[in-house]
Amino acid sequence: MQTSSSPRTPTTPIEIHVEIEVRRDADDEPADHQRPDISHGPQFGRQSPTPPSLPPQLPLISTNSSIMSLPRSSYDPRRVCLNPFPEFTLGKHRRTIGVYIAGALFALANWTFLDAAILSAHAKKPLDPPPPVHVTFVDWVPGICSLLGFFVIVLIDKDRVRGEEGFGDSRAVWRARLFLFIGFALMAGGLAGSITVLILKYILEDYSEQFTYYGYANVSQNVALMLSAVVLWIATSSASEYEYNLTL
Amino acid sequence: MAAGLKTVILLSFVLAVGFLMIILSCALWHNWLPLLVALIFVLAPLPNALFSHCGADDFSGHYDSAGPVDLGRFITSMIVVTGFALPIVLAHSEVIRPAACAMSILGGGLVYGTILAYSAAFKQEESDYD
Repeated sequence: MQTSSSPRTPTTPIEIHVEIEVRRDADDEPADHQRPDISHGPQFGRQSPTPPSLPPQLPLISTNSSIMSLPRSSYDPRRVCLNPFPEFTLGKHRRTIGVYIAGALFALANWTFLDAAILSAHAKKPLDPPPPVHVTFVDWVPGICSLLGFFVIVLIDKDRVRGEEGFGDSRAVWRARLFLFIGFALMAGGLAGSITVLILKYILEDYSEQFTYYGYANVSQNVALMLSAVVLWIATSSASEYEYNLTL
Repeated sequence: MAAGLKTVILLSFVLAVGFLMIILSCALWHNWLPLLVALIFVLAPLPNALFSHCGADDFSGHYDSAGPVDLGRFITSMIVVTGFALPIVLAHSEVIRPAACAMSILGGGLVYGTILAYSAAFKQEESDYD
């Protein structure tokens, strides 16, 4: 009897506690439409001892605009995404190294595909049976799409995409996000196109390994271009975060 | 200044050895395409040198003007990778011999290492004049 009753006693106060919190929520929200930041503020204190670092509470706050008195480090009321951009508080040299790595990846990507193209162009003479397939313009199309997407992504102002710097024109943020979407769609389209070319042109035709290398080179070109864009994005956005932490 | 003089002499020897390797890789097989590697590696520090004057200092903290500096670094690393990739691509498609490829890569690495070491060794005296 003692062992069966003692687990019950801690469970019942916890249930009562949860019910009280739910009623508080239902009572507060219609009453405080004017100042929802104050109504949400004490609720953090009730629920957990470390309130401002709760990521699931972000969409509740992001629906209310013009709250400027809150500390911006933990949650930003103007933030749109539930998961924010990855914040790297790296040193100053990380930006330099990231830019160098991005440039190296960019050159490596293009040289990988150019290697396949040059190899295909020089495969005519020595082979006694003529080679069954060549690198044609179809193989160049995914790489060109990826290059266009890369330049679109790189040339976008990062602060505008985030909308953090308080630009007056809110349509600029919208347009920057549209351009970013176009850039990523171009890069993803290039990657998908290269995989399509690899499968349809090289693998399904059962060429030997010497010729399927053209398709694999195409895919690795697009993968490396995407990696380069990601590395460049992280490297150039880490510095602003670094400065941001210094100013706070 | 004696240490600086020794450094200069050593670096000039390394530079000469690098150019010797590249020219030898061209002349031994009568194919002068690897000479492009020397040209590429000589051009490699040029974008960094040009664009570093466009940006701010390292300690001023104005990250808004760091775009041209980043562009220079991007182009520099692109050129360096191009210098290493070009002989490999040429050797892969059997335009040049693999030995010429290895020699030109080694020579190009020596030339670019000389340039890097020179700019690193004599950076101190440049910043004194600023």
